[in-house]
Amino acid sequence: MLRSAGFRYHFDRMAYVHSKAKKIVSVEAVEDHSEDWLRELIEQTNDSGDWRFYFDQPPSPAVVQAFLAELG
Amino acid sequence: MRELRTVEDRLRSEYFELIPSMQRTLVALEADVRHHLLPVMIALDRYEQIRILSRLKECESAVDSLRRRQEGRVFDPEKLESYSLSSLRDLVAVRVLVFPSYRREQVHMALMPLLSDWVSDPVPGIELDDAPVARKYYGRCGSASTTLTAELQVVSSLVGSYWEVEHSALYKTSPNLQGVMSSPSMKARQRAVLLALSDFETEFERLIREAAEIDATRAGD
Repeated sequence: MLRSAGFRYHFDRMAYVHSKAKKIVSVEAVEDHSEDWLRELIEQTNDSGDWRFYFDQPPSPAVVQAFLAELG
Repeated sequence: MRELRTVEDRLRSEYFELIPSMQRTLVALEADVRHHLLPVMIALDRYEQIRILSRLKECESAVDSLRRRQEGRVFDPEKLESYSLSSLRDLVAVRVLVFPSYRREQVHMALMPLLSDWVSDPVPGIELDDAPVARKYYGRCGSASTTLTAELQVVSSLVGSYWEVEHSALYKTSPNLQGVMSSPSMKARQRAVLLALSDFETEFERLIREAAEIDATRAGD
C-alpha cells in the first residue's frame, strides 16, 4: 500500500519515506497499526513544508536530525 | 580521562569490558551442549550430522544490533545511560545444526534439562501462518557463573548453512544492510528460499529412507 502510494523503503533507517509529501513512517508504526490508519496517513495532506514523522514513539531530536541530514 | 563522545563510543568501551564474561559463558555453554548431546552424537548414522557452532557477537555487530532496535535506527545521545550491550540476548550464541529432521527432535529433547530455566523464543516463519524456522532459547548458563544472557538454537543443517552464507555474503561487512530483509519484497524471496530448503530436505530424507528399506529387504533375502 505504501509503495503504491509513492513511499520508498529506507533500509538503513527501516522506515518508509515519501520525499514529495515529506512523510516518514517507521516499520514499527506500520506493524503496530491497522490498514485504515495507513490509508488515513497516506491521504493526509502535508502543506506545512516540514517533514512529518509517523512513529510509535515521538522521534527524538537526534532521530529527526539524522533523517533530515540524509533527506535534505 | 577524555570524555566519551558518542553512544557508540560508550558501547564499544562496554563491549571490551564484557569480553571476559562473554568468553567464559561461551566455553561453559558449548561444553554443556556437547555433554548433553553426546549420547545422540555417538549414535549418528553415516549420513546424519550434528554440528555445534558457537560464536561471540563482534563489537560493531553488537553496537549495530542495539541501534537497529531503536525506532529510526538512531541512538538518542540524551539517553546515553539507558543503552547497554548486556541487554542483547545473543552476545553469546550456540547453534546446533542437525540433519535429518527426526534427529532435531532428539537433540531438542536431549537439551531440555539444560534449558529448563530458559525462555523459548522460536525463530518465526516469514508469514504469520508459517511454521517456526528454528527452535531458539535464551537464558543464563548456570555453569558459567556470569550474568550474561546467552542464546541457543537448534536448526536444520540446510537452513543453518544458508544463514551462514547469507550472513557472511551480505551483512558481514555492512551490518546496516540487514534492514533490507525487512522489506516486503525481500521477505517474499526469503520465504521462497526457506520453503525450497524444507522441500529439499524432506525429499532427501524420503529417498534415504527408501534406500535404507531396499538395503534391509536385500539383507533379509
